[in-house]
Amino acid sequence: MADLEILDVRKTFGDIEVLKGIDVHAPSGSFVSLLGASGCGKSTLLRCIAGLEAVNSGTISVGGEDVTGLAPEKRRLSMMFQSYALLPHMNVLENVRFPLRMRGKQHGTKTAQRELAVHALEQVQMDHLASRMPRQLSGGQQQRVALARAIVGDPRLLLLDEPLSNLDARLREDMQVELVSLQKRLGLTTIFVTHDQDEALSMSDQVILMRGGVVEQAGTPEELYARPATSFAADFLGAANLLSVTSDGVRRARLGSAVVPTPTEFSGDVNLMIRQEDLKVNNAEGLDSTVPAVVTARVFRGSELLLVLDAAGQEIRAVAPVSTAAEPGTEVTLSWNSRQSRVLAK
Amino acid sequence: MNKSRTEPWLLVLPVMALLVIAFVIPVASSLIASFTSTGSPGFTLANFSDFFESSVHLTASARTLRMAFIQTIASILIAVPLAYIMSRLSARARVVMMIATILPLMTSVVIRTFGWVILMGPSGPLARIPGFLELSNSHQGLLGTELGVNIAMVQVLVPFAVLSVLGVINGIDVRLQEASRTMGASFLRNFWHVVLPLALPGIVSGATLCFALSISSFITPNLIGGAQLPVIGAFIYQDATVNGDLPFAAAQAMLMLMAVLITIAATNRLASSRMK
Repeated sequence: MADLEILDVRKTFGDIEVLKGIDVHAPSGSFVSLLGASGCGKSTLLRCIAGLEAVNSGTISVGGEDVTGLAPEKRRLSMMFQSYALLPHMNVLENVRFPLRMRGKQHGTKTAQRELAVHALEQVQMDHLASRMPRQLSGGQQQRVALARAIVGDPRLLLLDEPLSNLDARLREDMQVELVSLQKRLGLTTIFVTHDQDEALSMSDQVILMRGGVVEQAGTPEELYARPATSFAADFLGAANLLSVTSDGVRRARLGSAVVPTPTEFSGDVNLMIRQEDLKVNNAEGLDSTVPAVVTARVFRGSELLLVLDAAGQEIRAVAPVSTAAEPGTEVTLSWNSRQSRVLAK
Repeated sequence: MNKSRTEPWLLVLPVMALLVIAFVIPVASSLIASFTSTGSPGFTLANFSDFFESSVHLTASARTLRMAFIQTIASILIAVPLAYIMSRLSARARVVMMIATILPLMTSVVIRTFGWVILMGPSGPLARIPGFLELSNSHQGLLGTELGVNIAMVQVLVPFAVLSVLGVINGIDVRLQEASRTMGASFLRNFWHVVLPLALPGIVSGATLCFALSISSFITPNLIGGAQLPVIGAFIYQDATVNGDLPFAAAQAMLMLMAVLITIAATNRLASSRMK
């Protein structure tokens, strides 16, 4: 267990600069997500940490030790691949023992290594399948074995490359919970790459939102969700409404014919961010902002309705109780508390 | 339903026809011929008893098998690292290496062997190395030695071994090797514990190919080894074309075929027990 410090890391492939000066600090024992759309550089950053790609400049330190120039096998960290990368010619137990065998000396005799491997398999409830070959396992079982192999022998850092993306929705939710509780139990510093904002928000101590090779915003999931620094961050982390508004004096914005208060001062054209769940339909009680809107579509989601509305020519999405009378074409009022909205540059 | 079952058969028909005409019929007629005699009509085991009573033929058989083993092992030892390095190169560098590997196959074996005759001969470039002639223990340099034959044959066999192994190594998922590196395996240990076991099917097929090619070769052994080091292939060639004793040539060919089949079966059994 150790902390991870990344300072001004840059990486180019040919003429393309994939990482443009990345700074990340992951405290010891924390769960840090690298979140972003495909092509943002998150996977490349993870591969740089693992030593599978060489950085052009910058430093990567693990537990205070500069590992920037070290070969992957000398970094004493573990990585779990999206495809699991179980060795097909070894059974489950030998796969999990492999890192201990390769690191040799410090993990003792063959018997001691086997005990450690079995213990790691117990952590993911896979010890009963220790003698199976990888091809005899289901996707979910293979993943548990890969996880056991990644946590065996106390790695300094656990790197996870979209490990849950090949699972079906139900299994994925189970694994999210299990992965976090395992991580906390073992106190493993974990770097988790994902493109799924729900995954990042629900699992992480810290989320690093990346875009085009730079860190767009970093912070706790609560910070990023409640106070996105940019329109991109607001949109990426939980679907937000971004309404194009213009200045109409001190802390007031014009949206079509309506004028609404804003939480901060601004001038010119900006985006006003309002989360779907902060909007109320036909219920302005205790709320200081109201605009008229027309329902254009209504999606039944079981526990709630998703309404797509039109307000002064802009699309707004809101969640509402199932009992809301909101057939398409209905005119309604949308209300919110201005303190829950945010002014963001376009 | 019926149609979908006959279509695959129609597709393999040309290959099957070729196999029957060019392989099954000649081998079958050789098998029959090996039990006949030029002198007397009817079934006889004389060809086989002649073979096993001839010390010249038995010595040549032992030599042929021994050299085939050595050449196969040497070819695989060269081909596996070469194929591994080729698989890790960039696409462009790999093409260059591929061409360099296959290029020798574009020249006839006779031409290539004459190249070796010049290189290995008493006045060739190798002979200028101090101590070379003493080491090779003859006035002809490496000519007329098994070592000379083995060197020339390995050059013939390596491209076949490389192509067999490369096909399999290219199919190994790169992420398996990356995973093994992050798990603490050095370059060499990754090669030993991950690449080699996964490349085993290619190594087995490459070795089988080399062995079969080596045991049946006679041009290179004849030109480099000369009359002192006859191989079974040379005897077969001579009996069939010069001595006109087709039945005896056929009997020797059948024995050689059996040696190859036994070796293939043994290798496959060994490999499949490792691959389980």
